[in-house]
Amino acid sequence: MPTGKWNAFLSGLCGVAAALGVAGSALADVTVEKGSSIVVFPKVRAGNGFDTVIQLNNTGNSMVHAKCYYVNALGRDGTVDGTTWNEIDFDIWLTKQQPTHWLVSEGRNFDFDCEFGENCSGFPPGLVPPMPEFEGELKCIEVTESGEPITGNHLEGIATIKVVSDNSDARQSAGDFGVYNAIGFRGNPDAVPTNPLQLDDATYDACPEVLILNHFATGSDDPANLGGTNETELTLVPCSQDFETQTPGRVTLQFLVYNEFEEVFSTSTTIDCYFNEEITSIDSLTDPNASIFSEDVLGTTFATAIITPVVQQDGTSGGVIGVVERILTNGSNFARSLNNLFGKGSFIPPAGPDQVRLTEQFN
Amino acid sequence: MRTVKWNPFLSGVLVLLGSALLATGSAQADVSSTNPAAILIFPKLEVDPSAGTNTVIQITNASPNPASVRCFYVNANGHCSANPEEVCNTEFPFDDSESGLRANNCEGEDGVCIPGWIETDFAFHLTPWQPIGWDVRRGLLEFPLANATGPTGDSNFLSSIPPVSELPFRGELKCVLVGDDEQPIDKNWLKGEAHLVRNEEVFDLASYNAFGIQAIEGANNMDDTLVLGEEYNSCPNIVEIIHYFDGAIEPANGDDVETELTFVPCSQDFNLQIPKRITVQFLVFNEFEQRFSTSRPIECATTVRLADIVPRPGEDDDEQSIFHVAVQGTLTGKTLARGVNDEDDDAQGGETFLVLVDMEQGDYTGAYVAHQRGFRTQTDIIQLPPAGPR
Repeated sequence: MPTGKWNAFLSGLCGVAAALGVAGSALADVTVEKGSSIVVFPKVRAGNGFDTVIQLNNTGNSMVHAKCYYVNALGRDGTVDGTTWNEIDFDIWLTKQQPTHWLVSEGRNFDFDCEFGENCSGFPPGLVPPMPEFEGELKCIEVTESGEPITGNHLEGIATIKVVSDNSDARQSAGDFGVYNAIGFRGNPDAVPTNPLQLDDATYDACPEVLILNHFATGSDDPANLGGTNETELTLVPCSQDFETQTPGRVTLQFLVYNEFEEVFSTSTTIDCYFNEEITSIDSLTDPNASIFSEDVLGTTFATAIITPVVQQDGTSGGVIGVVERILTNGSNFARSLNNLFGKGSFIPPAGPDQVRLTEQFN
Repeated sequence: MRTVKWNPFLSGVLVLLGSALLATGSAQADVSSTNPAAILIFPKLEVDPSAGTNTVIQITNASPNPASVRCFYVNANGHCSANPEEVCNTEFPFDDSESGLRANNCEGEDGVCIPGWIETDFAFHLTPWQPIGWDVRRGLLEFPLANATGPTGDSNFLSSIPPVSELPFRGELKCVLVGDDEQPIDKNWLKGEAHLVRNEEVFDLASYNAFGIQAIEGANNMDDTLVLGEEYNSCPNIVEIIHYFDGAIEPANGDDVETELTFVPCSQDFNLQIPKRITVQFLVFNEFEQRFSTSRPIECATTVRLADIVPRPGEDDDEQSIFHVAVQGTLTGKTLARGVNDEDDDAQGGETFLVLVDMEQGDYTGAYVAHQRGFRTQTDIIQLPPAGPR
């Protein structure tokens, strides 16, 4: 019987390689604080009394290129109907350590007459198209000069959603705003990403296994005792996207809602492309007070919802990411604020990880 | 000559173990505001009835296990030396028409403003998955399951949260996950948010997620000395702040923009109540990639207007500040902030901090956490006072 003889040096080398492999694949949860290779702004609005300022930053000491995709979920009637979406992509480049910004409704272009201290002042990051009527997501992916994805982890950003006109039906007070950090997927510096991008914890961070939403029961009085009734607008976008064929991601989610008495309620919903609703509409479209997210049902002011993607029988599923907007109503005054959602773990569905398929370059 | 014969299999295993341990040892990078953690830091709490402000805190046990928590309010109010009942703030110039949270109103017979840091601690117990919340002004004297048990048979036994010790109040809240014996444990079960509500000139809300420092499982010796970088994740080496320059006109609605930064040192001694002093170096970049730098000290939980970092507190010389649009020429920019100390302190580490950004546009405010780069190899220490008997 042949026996294999171990080479001491080689076995040691294998050990190192294995350990490095472990370390190399040890990407963790998505981040809102670190430079990343993919940054996602799940909630961007322009028109209907809102506008958004995007601030993007290059954390590196070399020029960085990025391919950005606006995913517009507004239908032809100017509302999010869950069936319509389209994407527009554009390229940006940032010089060493350069921060930049643009207003979504106006975009950004090169202005020869721009003066010191004006909105257009600074190195233009490229031609950013204006999106005067927009509600949806912005995703930017770090790429090489020739457009190939790379895992440089040089991008980070924040978004400020501003109310630009009063509208009490839409709970808007002009001048009010909310701000949140872009969600970042870090790339493994040792990996060579290819299109489609794999959110598998080996090439890029995987999406969270569980999202945790701390919220105030809808209809409850604000505990700050300064007046105000609570509502919560939840925004979720699927991690998987196919920009080449414009196929939206579709994910079924289960919600477990705990009140302060540790009592649990549950519901589920399916999101296509983009979800942005007051949370009571998840399980009760006609009567918010009958929802498990309402104070009438929960019986307490504070609650937490555990949001889990459901795996289909064929093993397919997908992660989601998002932000939460708290809205306080005090008579005809409204106050809004935005928070990033908490997440736990890495979600790799049995049928394969989430993928982002970029548009192919051709000329 | 004697030769040593290597056991090939063992050498591979040893290298594998060594490398894995090294990898584990260095995997202490993140302070996160979106992952459950063992230590929660709420950098900015404000309560001022005269200005119509209050803060609501939410904390949730994000696990199926019961969780006990020790928390520490840090009262960062200053007080006038000759009139200790007068609250003041050394980061603002003299203005007796303003509230003590936004003015240094000690002058003449009141003496000078003396910074102060007073810690008040409390403990509570959460049942599995339980969310709670309270407003900082009133506290939470009766918990939801104070006199009953939840579905898992657990209750909020002996839990109570006091109101803040004086009004107006500004400061910080730190909470640490502990066991039933009130000693720290190496689990990551806590998440939290803070909501700053204001109903004065306008009705306004600014919310942020608490910073979470995760425990490293198996590395915690469960004593009252919490070692960040060994038992818990490290604080960042550099804090990166994306911001508008002060005085900028934001493009959506044409409102003036100002920004406040709240610095919280990662090292804190709650036992001896010794505030940590750190010198912070700033590198400021505008959208032309032009770079400026400055530095200034911070102590304990400090909130400072961006344009007051240099040259001095007050609006009079804002337009000479490198944090002002009149100097930078672009609306937005970014600032890298890094802590340094003298040599003696360096030996012990402790020069890291976290930053919460509070942006004011017109009459409204919004808050977000600053970004981070890298981590320190030197440790930070949070020293808890001994837990009392319960």
